[in-house]
Amino acid sequence: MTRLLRAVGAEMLKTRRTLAVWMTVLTPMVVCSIQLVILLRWGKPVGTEKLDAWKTSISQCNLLWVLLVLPLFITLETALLAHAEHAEKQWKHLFALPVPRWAFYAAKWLVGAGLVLLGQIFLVIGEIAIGYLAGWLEPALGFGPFPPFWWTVRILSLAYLISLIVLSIHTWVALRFHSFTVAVGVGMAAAVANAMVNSSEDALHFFPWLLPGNALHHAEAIAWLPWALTVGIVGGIALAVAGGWDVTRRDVL
Amino acid sequence: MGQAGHHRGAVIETRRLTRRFGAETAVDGLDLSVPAGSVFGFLGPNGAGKTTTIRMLLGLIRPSGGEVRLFGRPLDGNRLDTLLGVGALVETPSLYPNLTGRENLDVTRRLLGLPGSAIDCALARVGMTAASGKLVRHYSLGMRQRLGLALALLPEPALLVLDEPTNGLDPAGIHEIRGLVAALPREHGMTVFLSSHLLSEVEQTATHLGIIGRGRLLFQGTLEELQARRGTRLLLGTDRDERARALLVGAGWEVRGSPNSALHVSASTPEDAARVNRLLVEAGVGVFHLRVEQPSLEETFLDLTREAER
Repeated sequence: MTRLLRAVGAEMLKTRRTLAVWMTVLTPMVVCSIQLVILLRWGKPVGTEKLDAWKTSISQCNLLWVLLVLPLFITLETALLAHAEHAEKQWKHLFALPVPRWAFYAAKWLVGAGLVLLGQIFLVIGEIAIGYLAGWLEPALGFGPFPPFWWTVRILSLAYLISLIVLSIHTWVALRFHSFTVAVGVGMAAAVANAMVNSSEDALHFFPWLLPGNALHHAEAIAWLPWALTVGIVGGIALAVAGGWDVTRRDVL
Repeated sequence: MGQAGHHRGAVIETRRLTRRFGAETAVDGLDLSVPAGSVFGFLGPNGAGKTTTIRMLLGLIRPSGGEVRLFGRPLDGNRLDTLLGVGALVETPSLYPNLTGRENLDVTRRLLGLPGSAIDCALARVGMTAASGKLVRHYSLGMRQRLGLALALLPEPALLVLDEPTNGLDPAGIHEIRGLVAALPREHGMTVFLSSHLLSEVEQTATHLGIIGRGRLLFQGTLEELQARRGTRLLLGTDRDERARALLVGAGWEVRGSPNSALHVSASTPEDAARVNRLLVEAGVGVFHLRVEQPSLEETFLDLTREAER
């Protein structure tokens, strides 16, 4: 445990002055800015019979986030974290240290998970901030004084937990292959596939990149949320272990 | 340095160490023995198998056959305990350009659980204290190399493994690193394993040498032992080198030397010199230079590695 904590400490230090950290702020900011523009152009009450203005706005924002942005965000975060090691051939230094190789992989996964969580926290903050801002600039939108904070946190927490399997896949790809292009390419291919298989009932249950989005769609009622959480968390951990085993047993050439 | 620091005898031992990449054998049955407290120069031309050997010594790649023993213990199965006593700089330094020099050392310090003072110590040792607050992306090649050395020295290792540490450095930088490396065994009791493709690079610092060519160990021993292996030869200057070469070869002598340079004849005694001189003069070839000489260490090294290439 001490070795893992040390490796996480070292990993966190490596992220100083990196795009990976800036991305956690910039990415949710872009999503929220788009939503703000949409709201201001809409100009009339955004609530529906089922959802008030807050929940409608946050749901729209979340949808954009989980279906399109989150897979790419995870892709870029893991690719940037791995690139820090590949770029200057750090593995020959790290793996020659008296530190278990799994600790490096686990630390990379944990810091990746931390950065994605940070991005989601900024998303929650951004969604609430633009609700207030839009309501102040355009009172006709119908935003009330109290945003559904815990409702938002619950939905994004579910999406986050389910997306752990995606994080594990991309962490493995990014660390396994030296090429930044491969790491990003897999994420982009997954994002395109997301759009293509979105209408398939089978894919909703099995395609890892679709699972978080569907957790949002159906979070209120669906019966398969436990399934999605199981796949996301258990599958995520299993893939992280398998990926770690694969990457750390390889020769450093 | 822990227990590793008190080890006597061979700090590095390899037994029939072999590594194959497909059909190619990069390292072939290597039996190295690096004595404690030595500066061991590991020499060989590019592609001879030096870096592959070093990577096996550090557990970065697995041998196809044979064994690595560090501090008397097999590396296989004791990787973490054994590497506690090892610091390494393999090829170019592995640095994070977005961090300062000090932060780069702090990454490794955190991983090893060392006190903060270890950073100051390592920086002072390589003369990088003043520049340690600067981002590594702004470092010169020499500064990067020195920081890489500081990284290797950070855990106060009993064994320091350096793979071509002066690559890309200017003469002043080379001189500086050379001085630093030479002082380590004397001042800190370290054993230094230093690879290079240039004999001149290590002959001033190394106490022991290992010469590798095409993955095979061609020589292992002290500098004195290598010197003892040098034969003598006859250096010859004539007014018609090609004619002289033909005459000497025809008479059974082995002749080397490229056009426009002196001829080297594999003769070793004054009597041989007299016979060669007589043969050439009687054939009408003018001899203006004749000297029995001993080849330099560099030439002996090149001869050894050229033989391995054949």
